[in-house]
Amino acid sequence: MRKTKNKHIDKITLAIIQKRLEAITEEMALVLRLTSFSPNIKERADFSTAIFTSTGELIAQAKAIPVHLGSMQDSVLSALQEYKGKLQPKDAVFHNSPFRGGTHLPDITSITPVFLPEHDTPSFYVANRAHHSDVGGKTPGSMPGISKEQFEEGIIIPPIKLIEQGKEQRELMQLILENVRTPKERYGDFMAQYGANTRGEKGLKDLVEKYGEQTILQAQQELLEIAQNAMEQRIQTLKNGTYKFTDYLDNDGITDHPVPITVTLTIKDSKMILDFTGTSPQSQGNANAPFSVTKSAVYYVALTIFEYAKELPINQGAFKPIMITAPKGSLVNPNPPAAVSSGNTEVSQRIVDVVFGAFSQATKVPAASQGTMNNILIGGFYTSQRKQAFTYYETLAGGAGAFHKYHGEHAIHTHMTNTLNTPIEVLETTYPIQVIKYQIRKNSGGQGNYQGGNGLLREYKFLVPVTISLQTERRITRPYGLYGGKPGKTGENILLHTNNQKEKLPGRITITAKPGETLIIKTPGGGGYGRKDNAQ
Amino acid sequence: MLVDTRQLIGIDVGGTFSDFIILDESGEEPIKVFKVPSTPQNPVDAIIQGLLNASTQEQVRLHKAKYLAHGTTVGTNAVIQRKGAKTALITTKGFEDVLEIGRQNRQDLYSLRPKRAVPILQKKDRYGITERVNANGKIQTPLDYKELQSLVHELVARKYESIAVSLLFSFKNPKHEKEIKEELEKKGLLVSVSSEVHPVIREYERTNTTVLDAFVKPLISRYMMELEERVLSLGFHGSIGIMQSNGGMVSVKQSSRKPVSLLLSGLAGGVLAGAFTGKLLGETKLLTIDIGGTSTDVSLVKDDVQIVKEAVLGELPVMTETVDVLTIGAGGGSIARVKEGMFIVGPDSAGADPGPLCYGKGGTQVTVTDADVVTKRLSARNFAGGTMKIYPYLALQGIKALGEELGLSPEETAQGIQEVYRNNIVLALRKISLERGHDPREFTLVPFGGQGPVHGIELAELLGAKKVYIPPFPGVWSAFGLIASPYRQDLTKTIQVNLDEINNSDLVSWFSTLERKGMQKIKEDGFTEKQVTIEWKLDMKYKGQGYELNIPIHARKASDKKVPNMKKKEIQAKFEKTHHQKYGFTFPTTPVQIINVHVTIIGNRPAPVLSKPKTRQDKGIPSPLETRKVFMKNQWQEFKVYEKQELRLHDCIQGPAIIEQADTTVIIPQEWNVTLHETGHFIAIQTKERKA
Repeated sequence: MRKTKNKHIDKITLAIIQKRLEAITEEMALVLRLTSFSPNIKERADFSTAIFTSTGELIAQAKAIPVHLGSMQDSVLSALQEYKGKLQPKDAVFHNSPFRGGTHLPDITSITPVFLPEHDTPSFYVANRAHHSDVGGKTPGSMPGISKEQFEEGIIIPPIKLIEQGKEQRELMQLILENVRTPKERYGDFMAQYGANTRGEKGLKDLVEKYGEQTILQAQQELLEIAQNAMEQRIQTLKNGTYKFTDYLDNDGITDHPVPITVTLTIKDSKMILDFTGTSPQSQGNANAPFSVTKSAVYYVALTIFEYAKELPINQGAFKPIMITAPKGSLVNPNPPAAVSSGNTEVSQRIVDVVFGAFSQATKVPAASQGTMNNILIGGFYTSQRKQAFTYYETLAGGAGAFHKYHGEHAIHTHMTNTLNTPIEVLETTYPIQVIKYQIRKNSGGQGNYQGGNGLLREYKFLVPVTISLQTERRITRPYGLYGGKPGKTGENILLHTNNQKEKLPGRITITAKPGETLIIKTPGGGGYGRKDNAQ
Repeated sequence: MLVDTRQLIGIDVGGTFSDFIILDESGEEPIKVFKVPSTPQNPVDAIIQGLLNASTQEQVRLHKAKYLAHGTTVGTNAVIQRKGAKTALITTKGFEDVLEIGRQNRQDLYSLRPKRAVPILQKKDRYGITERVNANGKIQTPLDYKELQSLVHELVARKYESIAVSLLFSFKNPKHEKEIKEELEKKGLLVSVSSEVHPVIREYERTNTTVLDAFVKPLISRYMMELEERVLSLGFHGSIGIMQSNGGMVSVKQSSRKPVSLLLSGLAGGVLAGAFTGKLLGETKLLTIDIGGTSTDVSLVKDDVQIVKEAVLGELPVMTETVDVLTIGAGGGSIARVKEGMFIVGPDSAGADPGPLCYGKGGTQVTVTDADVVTKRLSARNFAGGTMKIYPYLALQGIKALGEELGLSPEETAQGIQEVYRNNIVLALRKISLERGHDPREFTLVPFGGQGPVHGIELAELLGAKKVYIPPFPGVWSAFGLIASPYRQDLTKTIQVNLDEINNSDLVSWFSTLERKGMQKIKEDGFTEKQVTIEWKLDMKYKGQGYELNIPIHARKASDKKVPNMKKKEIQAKFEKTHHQKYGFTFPTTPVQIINVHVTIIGNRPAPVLSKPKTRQDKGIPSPLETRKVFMKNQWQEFKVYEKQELRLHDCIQGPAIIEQADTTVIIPQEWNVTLHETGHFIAIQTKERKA
């Protein structure tokens, strides 16, 4: 290594190591996607892979699902807490507990320590989080439309060594598999997650062999500092001040009242403080966001609003200048045993809307996007003998919020998710469901100088009796427009009976449907930006 | 001297230059290489200009030439710029927007303006028709003929040049697509139907591929017709071969039938050339690296070029057999800068205009080429073979300023730029090998393109590879690859069955049907059975997985009529071995599925012969032109500089040394030596084991 004028390692080596760390997470992602079984993972890429320091700080993450950002760290930390001093090479700790850094139960995180030669403590951790298509609970897909306690939402896996020194713990594995609807798929996914970690472990060891441990440790420290400085400088470009914003969830699925989420944003020099005081107490239903989800929604806005992510490394350093507080027992920091299955998907989207709303008073931001993920879960049996069960889960795109010099894109995933759709032909080949229509929903975007994007229309016809769970938002409140732009249209959920009668469904519900009935989902449009007549 | 034998002409049309290589079939005449400026308005103009130059300046008698091989980017550019034919799409009613919705994801996760790739066709050009085939391939709603009649009427009235038809589940039952095609063709319309273009599950990818086929079809047909006419009018009457994305050639006539399979034609030539280098030198494991001004294409060759089933062009999926190439934004023009404490090289490029600082054309940003000039890898005297004046002080000035930001001296800065740049390329090389289950250290590097040999040997060092082959004409090696490529047809049938549910005879009959179709096509292109080889492959996966592995099952000469003995057990074992090699594990109790049956038909052409370098008469050793101090590995080192034209067969040059030739500069670091092989290649070998 060349000498430089200070104790830092040179920028050249640093640049190379940063790229190599990123490449390792990408290799992990590839192994996971290509070998997994859940359609959510293999078709829709609903997963993330990352590398952590020996103290559990995020140092590199494959660009994947924003809602896993930052929140994966909390899961790693609780695994480390549980197994302090007890981890061995080739172990994998798995867990999904929402109150220990998890998001919702289907998201299972797998953590493997990386021991360098001649070390008896781990020098790094590699981890990945993947959305399994079913983890048991009261409805197929483990995201019930209505649930009041986490126990209804599936099996809770606290941090446990499911794989110990490369060998699966048969009894534990059996316990888990007996509690889920599609055990073969689950088993394959666990193995794929472990395979991804194994690939990451090898990549890190090769990197250390090439550059030496000291250089890598120094590099990770500097990468954290660079990210922190970059974020601080961006915050400094905003005017100091305090900005407040409130938006609402339609309801909690149990009562009819709109549920407020409030944030007070304080910009103070190079720091920003977000306080969620004023937000509704935790709901009786499942519209609760575990605190790690709340944090990742805020981090997402910070990375986006400053266009930070274009060239700079995303790691824990970037999040250090961001202080987040939320009252214990509130909707955005609930206590167990709250049900949380729509926190990660629905509440997280609204937190983004609220945080952007607060920023709209300090700088220009886009109008609200659809503000929901439109979670559709359909389960049942392939035949009337009820032998083999199936579970289908998908999120549907909607309209993007308009911005200066940008008409919102139609039917696209925004903010906290970016999962692919299930191709219709794959869906119909795999499940006894037929799709009747899949179109862009005309005139659903908000009017404005720049138009909000249109939502989506999808119709599912059932060939067997099914149970449907919906977790959808913006069915009552509308995605806001900004600076004179109009809001986007609300979404609609409709069940079309065989006698052609239409039944309007609420945003959150679990119902059964008969063969021949059709579920119609219309997703919300994005908000408009600027007054329409105000041509610029 | 007039040449009176039969010549082979390779023409690779790029964005800036069209490269020509002309060689004699016998290998006895010197090889001619030259470039002419490309003519993007009509690329045929540059081809004709080059051929005219060849006949007037290079004594090539076109009427004696035997074969012209051509790689084109006409379709590629039409897609990237979204400038193709006026095209309409017919799709199952209710699914007109599939083409726009895509997979519903956005490109950039953290953007205030989330976007997807611009769809090829807008709403007004997408038409739905009443019909429905279900997942089992049964017709659930018959095609509405009345509706079809009025739709055809409308399409004619709106003067579409080309029509794409893609209906749900047409890969299971193509009846409706065929009926629509028939009606449209009655009206003289050009039609592409998805059950012929890409009969495989996943409606968005299939529809997009079909639309791309229709979108470029009129353009490609016209281009091919004009090319043939004008080349023939120059007196040429040999055969013309067109490079496809799959790395095989096809006749002009067949090329227009499924033009979507030509869209990545431009990438394939280089890989085929690299593979040919391996064949000449008896090496089966190669990594080819084609480094240009703005981008680098890397590819892995193991026994043969590797084919993938999906490529991306203009941010859209193209589902055709394509040579497995990874393109990254690293090249001589890649820009180096510091952004908030992070040092970054590429993917932004200064291109050819204004180009690097040293061009003196008003460039304002430091590039890799500037670093090569400051470290004296490249000399002003031999820049672009001495045809271009450069200004080294401009490069130095820029790098000095950048160095101040980094706290490094100018030469350390320049070296740093090169290191990050090489790291970017090495990551691509690692990706293309590790992701496919190979250890890159076991591979030989084949660097070409003008920039390739400048860093090629150090790329090998960084990767831990031991050997490098540098082709005789690195600057036009892709054009050579066109001449060296066989003809090729790929045929696929989707079956989607569990391995344990079928008989051996089912497999043989599926393979044989595809084989017959392919043989017919290759015979049309003038091949006899003796020249043809046949490969049978299966796409397999564990039941429930989402992605398949391609498993070679059997290969033979077409003249060999013996039907192979197929054993399911062996097929299963082959699959499991590949899965283990690629991913490191298997699922012993999960059933194995066959998704696609695949047949490749290869029409072999005689391998071109490269003329042998002259033998040294004086029994002496080559003498250097000069010595030059080059900054490498943290110090200025004395490099002996040789001219390629002065080197003779088996001459061995010890590093540190430089070999300069018209189209490139070969940098040989310490502990490497380079020998001139009888094929005109340089073989670079590491003389001392170093820890990579």
